Amino acid sequence: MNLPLNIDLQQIFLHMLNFVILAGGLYFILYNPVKKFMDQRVARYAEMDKAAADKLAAADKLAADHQAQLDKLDEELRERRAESQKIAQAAAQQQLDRAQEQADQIVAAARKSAESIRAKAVSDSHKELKELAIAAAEKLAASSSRDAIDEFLTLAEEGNGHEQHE
Amino acid sequence: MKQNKRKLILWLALIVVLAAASVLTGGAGGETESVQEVMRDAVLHETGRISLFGIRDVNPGLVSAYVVTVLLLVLAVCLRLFAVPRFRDVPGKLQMLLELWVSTFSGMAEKNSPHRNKVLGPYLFGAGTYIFVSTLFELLGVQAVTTAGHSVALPAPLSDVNGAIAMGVLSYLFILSGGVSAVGLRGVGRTLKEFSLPISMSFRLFGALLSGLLVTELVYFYITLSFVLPVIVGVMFTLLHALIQSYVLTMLVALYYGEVSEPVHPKASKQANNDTQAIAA
Repeated sequence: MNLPLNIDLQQIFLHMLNFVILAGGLYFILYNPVKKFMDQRVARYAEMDKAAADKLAAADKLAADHQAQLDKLDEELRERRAESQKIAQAAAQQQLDRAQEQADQIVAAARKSAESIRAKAVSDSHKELKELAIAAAEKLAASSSRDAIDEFLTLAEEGNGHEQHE
Repeated sequence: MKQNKRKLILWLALIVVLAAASVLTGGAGGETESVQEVMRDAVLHETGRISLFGIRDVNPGLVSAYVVTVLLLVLAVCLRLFAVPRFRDVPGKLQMLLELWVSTFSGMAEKNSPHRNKVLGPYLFGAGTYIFVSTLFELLGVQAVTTAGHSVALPAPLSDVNGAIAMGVLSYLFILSGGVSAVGLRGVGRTLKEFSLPISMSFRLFGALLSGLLVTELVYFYITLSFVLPVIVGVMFTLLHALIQSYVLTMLVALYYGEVSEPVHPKASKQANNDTQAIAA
């Protein structure tokens, strides 16, 4: 069969056969191993990427946990501080109350003591006045009446001065 | 020192100019056939045929195709044995080149046919490599003896119309097989719709490579054009053809393969449409 342009069916098929052999050979010898290597590398990198992302997520979770624990500890610390402050305040108040009570007792005792001293001084001065009066009466009885009265008055003034000094 | 260098350059330039002048002003170059005969033979290969292992006479393009195949397979075996086992995660220059070579075609397959590309990638790799290398092959100027006893430089296999038709038809059949395997008979219909594809692909390849061959033949026919000019028209045109034709054919195959192997989307039922309209209303 004569075709134009020197087209030859047998040569066409020979060209096809040649190309099929070449394409198959190139696929098995070169394309497939190189593609396989590239795919494996992509898979390996994807796996590494995933592992890194997982690790990052785990680290984030750990950090969040730690932060929560820290927050919890802070809260606990704040509560305890408030509690201890409350206790300290109560203790201080107690001490103040006790001190106030002691102070009241001391003041009361001092008042009592001062009262007793005063009473004693008053009784002493009364007693002394009595003694002076008796002594004066005795002297008066022994001397003249005018002199006795003057002397009595003088002695009585001196007795008042003593009482004021005390 | 500098003056001596300048004198040497001047002397060499003088020699080159005189040699060129003596050659260019010489005879016609000893052509034994007319330019028409050369052109006709480049297209039809009526006289310059080569015996294929003594079995039958074939066009030089077929012999070129076999030589290219052998060269590529030997190269592939060498790379498989010596380069691929030394691949590292951080690639060297050769590894980068090989990965680029493979990933260009596999990426093209994945991009243009996202639904089905397992076989498409290797086909594009084979076709692209074959077209690129076989087009560059004519630059080597490998000599063969015709049945008439003349010496011819083996041309690019795809500048032979039979090679171009084989490539175009095979690509069309490959697209058809993709359609059939993906969507059955619907794929046949989709592929047959593009019935002009094998012819257009074949003759695009043939025309592009033949034009380069004819220009080169024309340039080399006249000895006066055989200086400097072949560097541009021979090497540059061949490089461009190699790149453009391998890209065009692989891209077309990938596009059509993706188109015919696209899965069928089920049409929404009338009831569902009515319901939607009722809801919208």
